[in-house]
Amino acid sequence: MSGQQETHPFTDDNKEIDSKPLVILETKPLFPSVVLMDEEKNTDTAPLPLEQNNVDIMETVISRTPVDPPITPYIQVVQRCHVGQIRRRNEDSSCVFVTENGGEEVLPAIGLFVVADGMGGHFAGHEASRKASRLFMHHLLEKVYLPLLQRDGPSGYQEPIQEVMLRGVQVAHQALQNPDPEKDSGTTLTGALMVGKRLYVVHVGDTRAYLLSDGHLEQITTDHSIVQRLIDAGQLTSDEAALYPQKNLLYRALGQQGNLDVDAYTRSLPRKGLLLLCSDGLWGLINDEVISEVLQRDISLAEKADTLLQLALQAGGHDNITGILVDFAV
Amino acid sequence: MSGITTRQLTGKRDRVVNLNQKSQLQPGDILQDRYRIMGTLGVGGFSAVYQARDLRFANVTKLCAIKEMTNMASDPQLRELTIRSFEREASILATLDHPAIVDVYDFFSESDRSYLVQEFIRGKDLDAYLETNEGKMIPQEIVIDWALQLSDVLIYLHGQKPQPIVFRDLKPSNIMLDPFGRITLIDFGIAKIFEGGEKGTMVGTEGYSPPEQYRGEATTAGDIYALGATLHHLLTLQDPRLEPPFSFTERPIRVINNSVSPALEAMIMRCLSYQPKDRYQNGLEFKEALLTIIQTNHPPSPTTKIGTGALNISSPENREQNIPSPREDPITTTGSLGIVPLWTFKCEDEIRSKPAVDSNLVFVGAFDNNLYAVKANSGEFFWKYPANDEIASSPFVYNHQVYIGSADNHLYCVKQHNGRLNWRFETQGPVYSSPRADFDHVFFGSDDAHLYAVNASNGKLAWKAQVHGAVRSSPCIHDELIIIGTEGGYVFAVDLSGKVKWQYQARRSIVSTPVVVDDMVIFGSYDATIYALDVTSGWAVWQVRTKRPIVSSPVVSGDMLFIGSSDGSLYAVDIKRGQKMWTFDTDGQVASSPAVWERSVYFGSTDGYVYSVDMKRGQKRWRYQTGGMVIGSPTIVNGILYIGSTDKKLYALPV
Repeated sequence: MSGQQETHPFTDDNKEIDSKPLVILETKPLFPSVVLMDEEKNTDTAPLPLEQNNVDIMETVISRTPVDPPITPYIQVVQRCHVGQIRRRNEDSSCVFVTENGGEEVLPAIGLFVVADGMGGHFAGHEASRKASRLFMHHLLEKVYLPLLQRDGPSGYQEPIQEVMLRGVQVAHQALQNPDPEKDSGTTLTGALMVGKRLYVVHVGDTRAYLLSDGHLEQITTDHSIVQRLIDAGQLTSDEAALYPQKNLLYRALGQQGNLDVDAYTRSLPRKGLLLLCSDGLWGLINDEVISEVLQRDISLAEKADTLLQLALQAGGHDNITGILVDFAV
Repeated sequence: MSGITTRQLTGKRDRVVNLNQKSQLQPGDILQDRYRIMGTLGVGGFSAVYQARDLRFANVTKLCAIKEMTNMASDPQLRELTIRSFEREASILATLDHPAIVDVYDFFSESDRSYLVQEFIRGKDLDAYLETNEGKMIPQEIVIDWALQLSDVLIYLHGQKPQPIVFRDLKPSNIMLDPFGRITLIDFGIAKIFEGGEKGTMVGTEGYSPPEQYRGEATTAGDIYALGATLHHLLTLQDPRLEPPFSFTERPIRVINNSVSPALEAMIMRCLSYQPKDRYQNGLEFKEALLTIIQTNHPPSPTTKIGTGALNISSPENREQNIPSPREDPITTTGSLGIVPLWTFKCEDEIRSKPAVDSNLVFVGAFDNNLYAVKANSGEFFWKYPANDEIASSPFVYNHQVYIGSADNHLYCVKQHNGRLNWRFETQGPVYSSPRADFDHVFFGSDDAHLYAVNASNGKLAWKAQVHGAVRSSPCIHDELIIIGTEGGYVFAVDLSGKVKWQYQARRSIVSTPVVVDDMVIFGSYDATIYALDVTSGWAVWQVRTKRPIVSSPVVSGDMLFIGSSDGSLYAVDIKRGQKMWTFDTDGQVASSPAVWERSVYFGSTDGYVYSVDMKRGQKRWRYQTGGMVIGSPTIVNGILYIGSTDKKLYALPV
């Protein structure tokens, strides 16, 4: 999904609507009916926001279904960003922001997580991943979190959060553009936002987001790699893919010339679970079954993160290894 | 040097930046005491192409093109191996003799570079041609002519003994076009020998290469794939280097350029099969298929000769007559004829609502003030209940009662088996909102700007909540929330006691009835937007825009949502991605709320038709013409679709 705006009849800067001929049917009002041009242009005064709605209660009880026992929401997070065994420089970057508050009319708990993997062959891959992850984080805090702190009253957040997330990736993408094609830089980026009971993920490249709940590990993102497309085309099995020589070859990354298509994904969160964001230095060396098994061990969150890191190092650690591990209840 | 390509080979995403790139040769530099560099024709990650003059011809200017490849191998043994591979392949190229293959004059290696000296071709490559063509579609006849010329070259290469030569790198930038429309292949995959395996994450796709080539397999069927990819690019103008690899089948040619004949599209798509065995196996098979198409579709009548392909092409008018429109499948070409109603039932005025079906009875309200009960299997009249004004509301069946609103300000509760009134409830305005019942209560809105909760069995008011604006949307009940839109443009989520939990303001009124899926409230608005809100907070999750107001209510199947717009289209949206998947255009407005049955979606349009559209791809399965605009919505039960039209009829159609 690109961040480009389509023309829209009701945005302020675009009053034109298409001129498809309309059929006027009846003189008396009918409902439901076709949409007449007059109705579209109608700029009737919007009613005042409802502060306290007026409810006339005549009879008190509407029976309720039993509800689940209440759960205390929390977000705990551990991150590891390791250079690995071979590389001299860490071209991965990670960034974490978690906020919770207490009192009356609490704000929803927010967790914001970013992993980026700079392009090895490119000019300053470590700079690209650092810049992209921080710009993305900055954009989200500015557009989602800071307005919340200034908010008064219970009205909803109006701007679609998914569009804010997509915009954040485009901002980072633009910042990496370099007019000199020999000096452009590239990075992957996987960003996740947990707000209340909802998870948002945006994604470019082959960093990944996984969600573990009820003993099931789900890979949320789809790699933008040649090898993934080969698997999709039935040309490689997952086992062959693990040995494929060009498995780091991507077809989409931030900082490349032209428009950037960004994947976006949203879902409601399970009541409890683990979220893992990681670079290919982790998932490329430990298969999903092992990741799933480690995440379900009866050890602390930090121990789980350290175990995954150690397994990747033992498996060669030929790339930088990054993981953000989030334990949550909503 | 007009007409010579100077396009930078680095301008695309297929470039892999090489930090070790050494400086290029400069004009005046001399190689082998023989070739004086005149200028640079192109630069790639591992290679460069120069224009040079052969000094052996002292008295004339004999031009050549010299391809320079840098040996990236650091291991001396591997380096030597690379040079020997290069020399072996160059020797083979030097023996080739075909008018559409560039001549190789010489080759040599110096320090870490290897050079191939070739014929200098005037003209421009097809990639440069596409760039200068400024997005104008290339006529199919011209592309067919190029395809024939290319197939001739592939026949030559694939017919080489003792074994076929595989070109390996067919793409527009390797095809030169001269001013006479003749093409020449200029670059073999020889440069691939020099590409080392870089470590770390890299970006880049070749765009035209077949999947198996990434496994190291190079076969003649691989050249056919690359030919198909090239033709796809030429006919759609969509650069495959900017699209996900191997995604051609997801981008059918005729969807982008419907002037291409279905037969040619089918041929190219066959070239692009994932499995090599599913493609034409070599240039000869391809050419035979292409000639069959040309002979079938272009009888040798008035002829035009283009290029050297000696291809006879009929006039465009003829072509259009001869090529059947491919998107009309056998059912749709017969139009409505394929679908015969099981029965119709005539009311006395228009039907603009959605029928309800229960216990083998179809219930529907009409503008003749009546609520009708009709037998579902026969269409036979069963009973009717007269209200005092029009019924635009859709009936809801709950505990053997039928609930329905009327413009006479009342909500009615009618016994399902005999149509007798059980109770009625009066509001202060017309009830266009359709009731929903749960928790032993009926919830509905009224034009008097209230949401009502009324006891379902006795009609007593439990509560009414003021919601500032007439309510024509119908409530959506989810867990213990009642969600409803208003003419004021608000969506309210109200708890079972009538208290507002959250509210969200759209820019225009909301008639569309929300649906809740994956904890998102989704609905359309008169502001032409499809909204998804978080059900717990009311925060906006995503939006998808249409071109004109939305009256239709969404329906969900799996991760896909369907909704109509007055811009004339049905929209399919991926709810997990908040992204439009496809649209299906009608000639009217789609006020009708779609229904889903098995793998198809059904809805009406004011163009008078009821449509059945394939859910995954948005292609028409059938349409059925009624005698008036279809503003009402379908209900599908047991494979039978019930829908009312403004021709006053209720239809039962087999899906």
